[in-house]
Amino acid sequence: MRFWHKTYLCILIIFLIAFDTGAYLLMQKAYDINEKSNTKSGISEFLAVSQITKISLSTYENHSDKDVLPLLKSIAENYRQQDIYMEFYEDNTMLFSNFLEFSDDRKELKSDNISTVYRTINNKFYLFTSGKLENNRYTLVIIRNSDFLIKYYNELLQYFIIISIIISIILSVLLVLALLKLTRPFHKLNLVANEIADGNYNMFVEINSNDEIGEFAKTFNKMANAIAHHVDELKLSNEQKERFSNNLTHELKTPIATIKGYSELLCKANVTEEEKIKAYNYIYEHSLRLQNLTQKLMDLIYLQKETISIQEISVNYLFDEIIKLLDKNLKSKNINIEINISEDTILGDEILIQSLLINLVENAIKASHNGAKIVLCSRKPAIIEITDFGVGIPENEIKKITEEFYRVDKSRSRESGGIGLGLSICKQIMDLHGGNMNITSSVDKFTTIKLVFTTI
Amino acid sequence: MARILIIEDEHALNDLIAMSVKMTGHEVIQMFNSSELSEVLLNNKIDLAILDVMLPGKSGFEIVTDITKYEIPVIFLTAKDNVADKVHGLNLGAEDYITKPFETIELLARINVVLRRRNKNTKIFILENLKVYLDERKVTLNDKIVELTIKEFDILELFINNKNIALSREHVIKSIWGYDFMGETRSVDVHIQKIRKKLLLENHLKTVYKFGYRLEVH
Repeated sequence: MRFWHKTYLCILIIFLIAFDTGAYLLMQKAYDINEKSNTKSGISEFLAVSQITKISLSTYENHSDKDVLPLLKSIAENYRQQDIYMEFYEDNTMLFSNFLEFSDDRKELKSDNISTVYRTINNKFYLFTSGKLENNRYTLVIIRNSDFLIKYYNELLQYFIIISIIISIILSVLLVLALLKLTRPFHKLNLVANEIADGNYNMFVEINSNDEIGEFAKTFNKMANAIAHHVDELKLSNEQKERFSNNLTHELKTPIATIKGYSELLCKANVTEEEKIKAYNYIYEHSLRLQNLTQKLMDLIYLQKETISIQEISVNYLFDEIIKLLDKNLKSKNINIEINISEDTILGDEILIQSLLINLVENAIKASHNGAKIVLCSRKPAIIEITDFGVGIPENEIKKITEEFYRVDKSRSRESGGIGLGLSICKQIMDLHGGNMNITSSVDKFTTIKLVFTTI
Repeated sequence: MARILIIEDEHALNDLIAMSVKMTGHEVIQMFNSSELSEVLLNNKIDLAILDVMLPGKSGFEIVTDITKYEIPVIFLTAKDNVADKVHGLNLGAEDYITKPFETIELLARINVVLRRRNKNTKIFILENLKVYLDERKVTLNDKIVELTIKEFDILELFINNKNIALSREHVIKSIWGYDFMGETRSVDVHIQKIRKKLLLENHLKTVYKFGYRLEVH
């Protein structure tokens, strides 16, 4: 049984009980009032008749039964026209009656005051009003046809039943509509929850009410949002991992395929002298590439596990070392290095920082044109900047540039011996130091790499 | 002789494929990216394309239909070695799929299969006074028919398809007799001797020391 079925039945039953009880009591009350007013009419008729009798009797002095009886008969004859009958008793002996004969316990006759009783005789309803006359010697009974009361009651009952049925039908329809409307949000929630269960995580419920359901919908949306967010994160990290392994496979397989292919060719084929030299060169170049790749991969693995030993390093010393180490590269492109030092020391692991700077300056040299300059500067607080005025990096590539194996220009970088791991190693080194690496660049103008170290 | 288009961004691999393919007598066009593909396809009659999947810019999967619409068979070449990728490549209309690192002989064999299927293979092999009609399985020397046994012809065809490349005795046995041949590698030598004698190929069908034989053609 669905929730709205239950609610529907409950409300309908409670309402019908309440309505029917109320209506029934009202009907009873209406009947009572009518009956009372009918009883009053009966009593006033009795009083009127008894008054007339009394006045008439008083005209006779020493009157006897014989005098009373004709008078009563004539009065009764008058009243009979109005469906009102009379009985007259003297000391419990009936003197006169124009009503039917019937047998019943006539308790009204025993009372000393005016008393009333309703009786059904021959399917007709009568009011019996009785009281004493003349020193309690005589008893007068006025019998009034009261069928209209029964008719009135039946009419009320019929009306009550019809109204009850009509109201039940209207109520049912309205209840069904209201309940369907009220439970629709649950239906919606259920649909969305099912969608989410099926893996469509980017779903939410549109319920804008301010009630409990609205609140629940809000919480539900919050939950769905959180799930979608986590799933997206997982997907992203999975994608990155897949990209990494795809790239690594490619980076490994290409030099292996080259070395294997050319050595096979040299072994088996009838190659010319020129082709032989080409083959030897390719084999050498690609074994270097493999060596470079393994070295960089080892660095990455090492960095992921390493805890670093932090010490104060002189910036001046760092820059000097780098220029010495990269002297050959700088001279081959005729590049000048300009140095500005305003922060004397930084905190870090000397070997790692050195390899970080070598990587970045090497990149700067590769990006620079012949005869250009590269600026190395240190600024307070604990910032090192490397700026070159070479090819620059397109804005949409800057974010991806620290991802493993990512290259802005695939073919050019490969020809210059890059394997796309340098910047991701740099980023890892900065992460290990709790620092940041920010890249700003403009194509064909400049590239600045800003290293922000922690000061504590 | 067929004209083969090689699209591979790695210069080393591109040259390697080009060298091997040229050696067996085909002509090559080398491309290192897909940027001028449509011009190359319009201006040259190409019999087969060898296409790398991971290219800079558009990937091989993206450009394969540009090539197949000219009725040019495509062999994919890639580092990716999973079934889904293979099926994807073949569904896109590629004829075959070869993963790096590959062996030159394997690549040449696949090229031959595709060319034969497309009927674009060399039908007559000519070397000085020797003519080999591959379809009719007929050999003439100085316009006179020379009778070869079935095995002798099969071996000759194998060497013609792998011109200038040394084939090991094991490879010849595997290719001609099949994997389950239990005989000696000596039988290869016997057959080679007979072919040399019948076709006067002493100067071309050369012994490669401790390895096998090579058909040298320049």
